Amino acid sequence: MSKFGLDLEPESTVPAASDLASKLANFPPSSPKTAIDLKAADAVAASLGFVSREATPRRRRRVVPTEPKRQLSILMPVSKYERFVAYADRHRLTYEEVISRFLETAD
Amino acid sequence: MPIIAVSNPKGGVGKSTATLLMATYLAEQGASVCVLDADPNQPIYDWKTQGESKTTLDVVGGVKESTLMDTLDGLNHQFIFIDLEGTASVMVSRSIAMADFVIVPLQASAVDVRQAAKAIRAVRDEEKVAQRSNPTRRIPYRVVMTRTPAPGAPVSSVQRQLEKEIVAAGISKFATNLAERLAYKAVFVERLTLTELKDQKVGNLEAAKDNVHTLVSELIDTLQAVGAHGQ
Repeated sequence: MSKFGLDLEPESTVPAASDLASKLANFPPSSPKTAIDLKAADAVAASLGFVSREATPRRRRRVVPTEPKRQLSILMPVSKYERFVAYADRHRLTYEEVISRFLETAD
Repeated sequence: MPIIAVSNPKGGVGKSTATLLMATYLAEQGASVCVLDADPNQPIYDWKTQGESKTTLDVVGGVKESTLMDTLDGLNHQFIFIDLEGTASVMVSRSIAMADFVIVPLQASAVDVRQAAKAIRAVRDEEKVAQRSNPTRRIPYRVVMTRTPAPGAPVSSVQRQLEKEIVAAGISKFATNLAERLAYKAVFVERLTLTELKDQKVGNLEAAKDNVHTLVSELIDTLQAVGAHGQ
């Protein structure tokens, strides 16, 4: 018997790995994520020197039929511009081909 | 589901090593874990697909800037690590913007620290951008010293000075360092987890495993403390 009243029950020693395994139960497998504003995130990254390292797809060149041509310059909101360009990339079309396709469906 | 981005624009600091060790250890403890290998060299995807490890860790390779968000949305794991390339790229910045927690490994060298500072600035700025639409959004981060001398071995004056400056700069750091160990190199050479290396002569395997256990325990406690459950 301890003269100093140190007759304490031994502390339970749980193996460290079990502590960790039990803590893992606090982490659920999935949860809905808030959508992030990619444009804003990319803009701040660009200001810090983070640039895209992925090659952009090369545009295919096609021989177009001979017909007089006129230039069309269009000023549009950035979001519409990006949608237009992404559509052309996705379908591997020149901008003129995209407009032709839209005109065919419109008529 | 915390998404943990592991980032330092400097290559060779031990991002993939730290990611693989932590992820495989968590998987061994029964967690469902996935690593997105966003490094163009695909070291972890290669480790998983070319090796014979029996780990339950899932690895997704070939992640691109444009597919990152959709890839993350399609996962259903308790922990997702994103192993990032050692460059300052849009893949890295988007991963940081989407992360619940960022780990910045760094060695005790001036170049590593300067590049780590770039990652830390990105974390802080992406957090501010995200808070414009969601004031409660946080992207906590911690620096982890990697490839340090094993306990008992002499510590360089550069490392001591760096650790002091990190504290003085108010940068949060893991108390646990990840030492330079033969066993960690062997994980990639043999394409096996630390536990699976048991029959091989790879230095002090027990000490290597203890190091990872201590680091992962600190990671879990930190994630809980900062509320980064991914909820």
